[in-house]
Amino acid sequence: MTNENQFTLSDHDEATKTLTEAVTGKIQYLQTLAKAIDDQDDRQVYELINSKKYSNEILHARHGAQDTENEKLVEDIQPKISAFLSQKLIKYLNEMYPFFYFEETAPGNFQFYFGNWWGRRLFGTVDVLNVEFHFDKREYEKLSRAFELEYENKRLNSDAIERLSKENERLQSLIDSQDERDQQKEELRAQIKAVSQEKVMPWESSKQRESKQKLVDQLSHLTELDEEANDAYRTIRDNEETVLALSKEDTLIGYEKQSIVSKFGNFENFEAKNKTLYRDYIANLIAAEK
Amino acid sequence: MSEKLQTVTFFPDGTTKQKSKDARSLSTTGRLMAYRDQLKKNLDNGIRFTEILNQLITTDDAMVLLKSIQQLSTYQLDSAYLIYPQQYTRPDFYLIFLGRLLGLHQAEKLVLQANEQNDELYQEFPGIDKLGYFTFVENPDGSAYYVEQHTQEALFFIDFNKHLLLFNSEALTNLLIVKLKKEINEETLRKFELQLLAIGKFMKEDYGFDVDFNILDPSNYASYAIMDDQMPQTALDKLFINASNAGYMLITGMHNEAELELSRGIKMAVEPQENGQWVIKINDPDNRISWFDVLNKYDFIRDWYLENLESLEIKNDSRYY
Repeated sequence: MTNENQFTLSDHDEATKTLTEAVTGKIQYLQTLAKAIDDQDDRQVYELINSKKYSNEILHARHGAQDTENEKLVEDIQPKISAFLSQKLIKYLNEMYPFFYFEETAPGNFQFYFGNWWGRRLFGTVDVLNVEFHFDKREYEKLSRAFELEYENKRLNSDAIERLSKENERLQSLIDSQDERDQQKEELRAQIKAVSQEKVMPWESSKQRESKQKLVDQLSHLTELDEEANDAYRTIRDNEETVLALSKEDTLIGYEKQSIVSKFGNFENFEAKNKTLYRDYIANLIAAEK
Repeated sequence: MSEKLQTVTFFPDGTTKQKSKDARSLSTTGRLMAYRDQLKKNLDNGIRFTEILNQLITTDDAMVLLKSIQQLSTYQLDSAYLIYPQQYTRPDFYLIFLGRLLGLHQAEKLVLQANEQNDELYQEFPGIDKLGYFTFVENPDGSAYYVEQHTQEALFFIDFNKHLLLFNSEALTNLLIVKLKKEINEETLRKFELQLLAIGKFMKEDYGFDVDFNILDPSNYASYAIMDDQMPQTALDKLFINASNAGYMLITGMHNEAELELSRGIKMAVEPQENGQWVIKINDPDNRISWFDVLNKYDFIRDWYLENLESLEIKNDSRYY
């Protein structure tokens, strides 16, 4: 007996066929990837894991072939892919950016320092899958600013160092002039006493008050300076520490600038090269194939 | 009263022995004979002294030379019976010994002089001349310091009986790097250093002395321990800046130590040892360069070291300095 009211099901044979095709597609994708890995063909791996980026950047195709569905298959093994791809990439980066020192923090994960000099700065991380630097924004900004300041013949911290040095000179002279101030205070106190004891006519009393107030103000100004002088030693030391840190930073950035200029000529070229890093690297892989 | 009549015998090693026998019980002849015996003994002591002195002055045998100075370092010449008004002091003998030892190796550069006012012996070094007046200052136990008298800087400590010679980094720095550096050229200071090194070397090789060369040690294995018990961060930051201004680059080594290449193959490092002690090390292909040499040669390092002594000063053996 048939139930006439049942919905009709799609054709099972058709379903089998489509699914088989879909699975085969995925298997083919994975097989291609497996072969590329086996052949140490990094270029093809790059193409397979991010076809959109590859076709945009390399083939300059706006609507190139995209295989995002298959790419999702390998999303969970990206760290492993990254570890695989990093060997050739880091070698390339070492050549192109000899002043970056790459440290592998976990398989396929890299951070890098700028230079090998003392106190070198941690400058960013490498995105191996996208062939991209992720610069530390603060450090990068300092470097970029230092290049701008070159036109003013200044270093990044020149102004701050000058200001602190002047401040320290002022504080030192404040300390040195303590005796002088003590003497002035002595004189002022004597004057205040003299003014207070002076007998004046009633109509002169406001003038007397005024001149006394003036002396008191001068005295309290000197006392304020005394207090500042008392703290000056510590402030001077703090300022010296800050100046040291700033000079150190200027020295570091000086080396960074030298490194960039000697490899890229100027900062603009360096930035431009960073932007085309993916393209340049894949081109390098293609050239190596031939 | 009886105490005054006790017989007191002075022995060559400086000790005395009192006999409690009451002198009044002796006959006159007996007393005279006892006196004669003592006198003869003390004369013999003097004769023996001349023999040892003769060895010090004339022997060509390094071991005999050492033996002579060891004996002289504790020799008691005067006694209650016999006092020699004209004498060289023990520090004088030590100077003679140094000169003789260097002479045996044809390495004597220090010149022995006699002070005209008090007949005291002292040494001078050609080139440093009147700016350096070197003598020994002895301790009660016969050990001694080699001291520059104008500055009272004790350059090394020597103990002939304990077989010990220790150079003093602080005094060497104060005298040579701070004071004399202003007036004496690098080469002369280097020659003086080599003379001091020669003294240490011969004491070590000829006599097996335990020698601490301290900042003079040119070996690459030498580790100059600094005062700071942790990384001298501030000092290293300053070195980084000063070096950069002088055209050198302080770099971070493989283990976060600080390294500075001073010239081809000559490297200075500031690094921690396994026990956590921070040290300065100097590496050069020929094991010829010591920390002292670096201070002597490189102005920016010298200024840096002297300005940061609080954390960088090279430690001395605190038992002797």
